[in-house]
Amino acid sequence: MKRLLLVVLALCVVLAVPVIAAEDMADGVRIARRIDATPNDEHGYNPGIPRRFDNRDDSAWGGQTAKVTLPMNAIVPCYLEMDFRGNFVDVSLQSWGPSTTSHLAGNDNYWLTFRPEVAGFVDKDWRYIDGSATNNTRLFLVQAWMARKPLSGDATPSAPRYGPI
Amino acid sequence: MNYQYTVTVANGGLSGGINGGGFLDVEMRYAAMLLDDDPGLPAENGSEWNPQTFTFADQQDNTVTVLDGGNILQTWVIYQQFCVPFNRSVPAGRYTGTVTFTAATI
Repeated sequence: MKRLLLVVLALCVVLAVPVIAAEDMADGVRIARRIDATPNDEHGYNPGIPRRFDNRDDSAWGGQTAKVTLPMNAIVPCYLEMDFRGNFVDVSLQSWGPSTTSHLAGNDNYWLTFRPEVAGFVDKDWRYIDGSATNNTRLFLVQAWMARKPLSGDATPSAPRYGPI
Repeated sequence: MNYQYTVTVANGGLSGGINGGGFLDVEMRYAAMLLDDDPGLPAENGSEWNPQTFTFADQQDNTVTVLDGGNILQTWVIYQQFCVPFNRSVPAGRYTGTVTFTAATI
């Protein structure tokens, strides 16, 4: 009888191993508990095996969150440019960002001048008086102003001489 | 924030003339055109001369504000013409002054 018991125990063991192995393949909870005992897995997980476990059995973990929320802002600096052009003037001034000043001053190369030989005369309606850009033009003085002589195609502003900057 | 484009004539005009003491008003007219790179918008807006002639001596701080407003990137072309009087009441001679063209954000 004693021999029989040993045989039965042996059979049980032999039979039990395939059953446990089958459960390990099918149930992630059990796999986790066995992995804890795996000697070459000190951190509790084994590469290649899913790390997220069904935690319905206990509440030692799960539902955890670590996140960072930061406010955002942006500074879009103002870009200011002025192209200053005239008969003999072509100057570009640029200002980048706040508190920056681009200033052309005291340059003897550029004048806003009202001189008969350079500018000529216009009437009260700003119409250029033909031939008035000389020193000897006879003018009716009551209605004459000195102004710069218009360039060709510049009598009216309808046709811009310059394209977009 | 807005940008402004202003023209200022110091003291409102030119001073000098024979024996000094003379004063020349400076007058200005302008035309402003807005250029836009967006092909869906008109290429230009406002291409006519402003009918008003400005006399700087009559303006506050001797300044004419040509553009006032806007806070996005825009390109304007401003045509300007200036003149000074020439009549029997103006002493001959040499006159001097200063004009300042300012584009600024405020």
